[in-house]
Amino acid sequence: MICDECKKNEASVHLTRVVNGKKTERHLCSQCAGKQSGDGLGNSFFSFGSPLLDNDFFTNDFFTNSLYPDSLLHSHQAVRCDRCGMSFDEFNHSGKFGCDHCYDVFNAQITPLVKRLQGSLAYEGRVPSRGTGVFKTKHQIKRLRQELDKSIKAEQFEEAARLRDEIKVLEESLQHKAE
Amino acid sequence: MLNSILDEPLSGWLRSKDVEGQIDSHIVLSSRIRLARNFKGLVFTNRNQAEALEKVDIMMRGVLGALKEADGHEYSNISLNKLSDVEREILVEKHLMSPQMSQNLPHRSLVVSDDAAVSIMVNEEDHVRIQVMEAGLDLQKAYEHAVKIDDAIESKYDYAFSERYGYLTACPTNVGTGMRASAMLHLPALAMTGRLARVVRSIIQLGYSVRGLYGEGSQGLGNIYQISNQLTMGISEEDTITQLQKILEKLVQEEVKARETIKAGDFESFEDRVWRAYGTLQYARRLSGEEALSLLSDIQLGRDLGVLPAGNADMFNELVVTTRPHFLSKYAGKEQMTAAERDSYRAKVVRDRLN
Repeated sequence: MICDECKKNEASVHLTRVVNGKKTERHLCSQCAGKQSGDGLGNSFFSFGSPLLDNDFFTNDFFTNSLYPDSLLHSHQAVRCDRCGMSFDEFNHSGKFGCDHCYDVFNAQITPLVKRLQGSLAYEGRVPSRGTGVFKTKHQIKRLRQELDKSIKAEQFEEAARLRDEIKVLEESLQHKAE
Repeated sequence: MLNSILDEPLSGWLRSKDVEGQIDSHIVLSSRIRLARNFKGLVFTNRNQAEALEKVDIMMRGVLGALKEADGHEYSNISLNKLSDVEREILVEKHLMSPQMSQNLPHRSLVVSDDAAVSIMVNEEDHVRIQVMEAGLDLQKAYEHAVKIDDAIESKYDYAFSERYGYLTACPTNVGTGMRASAMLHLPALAMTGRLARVVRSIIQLGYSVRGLYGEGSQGLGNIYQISNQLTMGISEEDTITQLQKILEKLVQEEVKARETIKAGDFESFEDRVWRAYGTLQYARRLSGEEALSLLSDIQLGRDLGVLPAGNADMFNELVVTTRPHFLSKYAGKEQMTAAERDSYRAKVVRDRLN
C-alpha cells in the first residue's frame, strides 16, 4: 500500500479514527507519519497519554501551524475582537479565546477549527432555559424530526403521525413568537 | 467545613460502594462529570481582567443559597488566596480542583458542598467549572446532579451560549456541551498480564482519552487510570454518557477476564508478589509515593482475588490519598518536610493502617 501523503513510499503506519460513528482511515509511510504527528491524530496512537491529549496541546505552535497555513494566519492578524482585544494570532499561540464575542468575530476561522477538532459542527446538547425559548423550541423540533425519520423507517406510522402533529404545533408556536 | 474537607482522607464519593459479590466497585473507583461554563458578556479568565475576575467571584458567592435549594447540601466558598500552599495542593490531591487552579490566585475560589461531591472551580480556564463526583460507576447519577447545579446557577445568571456552538468556552476543545464525563479505574490485572497497552490503544481510537491518576505525567501510578470523552460537539450529553458507560463496562469485563487469567495461571507467583508487597508495606521504614502506590495496588488486587483477607474496602482508596506528599505534610502537622522525612512518615502511615 502506498502512503496517502507523499504517494511514494510504502505505507507502514495505519491510522483509524472513529468520530461520531464515522470511521476514517489513513495510511502513511513512517516519514509522513512523523510529520503528521501534530494533527491530533498521530502521537496519541504511538505513545499513550501523550501531551496531545491534554487541552494544552494548542500551545504547541506546530499543531496550530499545521492547521493554518501562514497565508491564512497573516490575513487574519489584523482583526481583533472589539470586546476583549484578542487577535486570532494570539488565539493561535494560547489556544484560548478571550470572550464569548470572539466566537462571532472569528466565526470564519472557528468553523473549520471546530469541525476538525470535534468532527462535527452540529450542537446537540442542552439548551439554557432562560431567554425567549425560541432556540429551545427549534431544538425540540430538530429532535422530533429525527425521531420522526426513525419511526417512518421502522414503519411505525401511528407514532409518526403523532410526532408530525407535535412538530406542527411547535412550528406554529414559533411563528407566533416571530410575529 | 474547610477543615473537614482538608483533614478527611476520603470524601464520600471515594468511599467504595461495597456490594456483596459485585467486583465492579473495586475496579471503578469513582465517576465524575465536569461542565465548563462562562457568563454572558464577561471577558474570559485568560484575559486576566481584574474587573471580570472580581465580578465572577462575587456572582458565585451569590449562588450558595440557590445551590442549597437545588440539592439540599450546604455550600461554602473558599478563597484560594486565603489558603496556604500545602492546603491548596491538598485540594488538588483530593481531585477537588485542577493543578492549574493552585497557581493563579486573585479572585480564584472554590465553591464546595459539605460532602465534597460537588466542587465548582471559579475563574479557572472558564468562569465556572462544575465538578460532580459519584462513588463507583454511576455517570448518569453524577450527570443528573450536575444538571441541578447547572440549572441553579443559570437561574440567577445568563451563560455565554450560542445556537450554533452551544456553551462557549475559552478552549474550542470544550465548546458545545462543555462536558467531560470520566471515571477513575483500578486496572492492575490488565497491567500485570500485559494487555493494558492494547486495551488503552483501542479506547483512544474510539475517541476517548486515557490518563493517569493525576492527569498528564502520572501514567500507571498505582495502576489507576482516568478515562474520559473528548468530543463536545455533534453528540448530546446523554449519548456521551451512554457510550462512555458502555466502554467502561467493557473495560471492567476486560479487567475481570485478566483477573481470571491470573487465577488460572501460575497463581503461586501471583501470591508471592502480593505477600512480598504486603511484607514490604508492613515493615518498610521509608516508602516513596510511587513505590507505595504500586505495592498498595498489588495488595488491593490480592484482596480482590482472595490471597489476602478482604478487610476494609476503603483502605486502598484512602491510602491513595493519604500517601500523597502534601496530604502527608498536613497529616504530620509539618508543612516543610524533606523527601526523606516524608518517605519515612509515609511508611509509618501505611504501617499503622495495615496493622
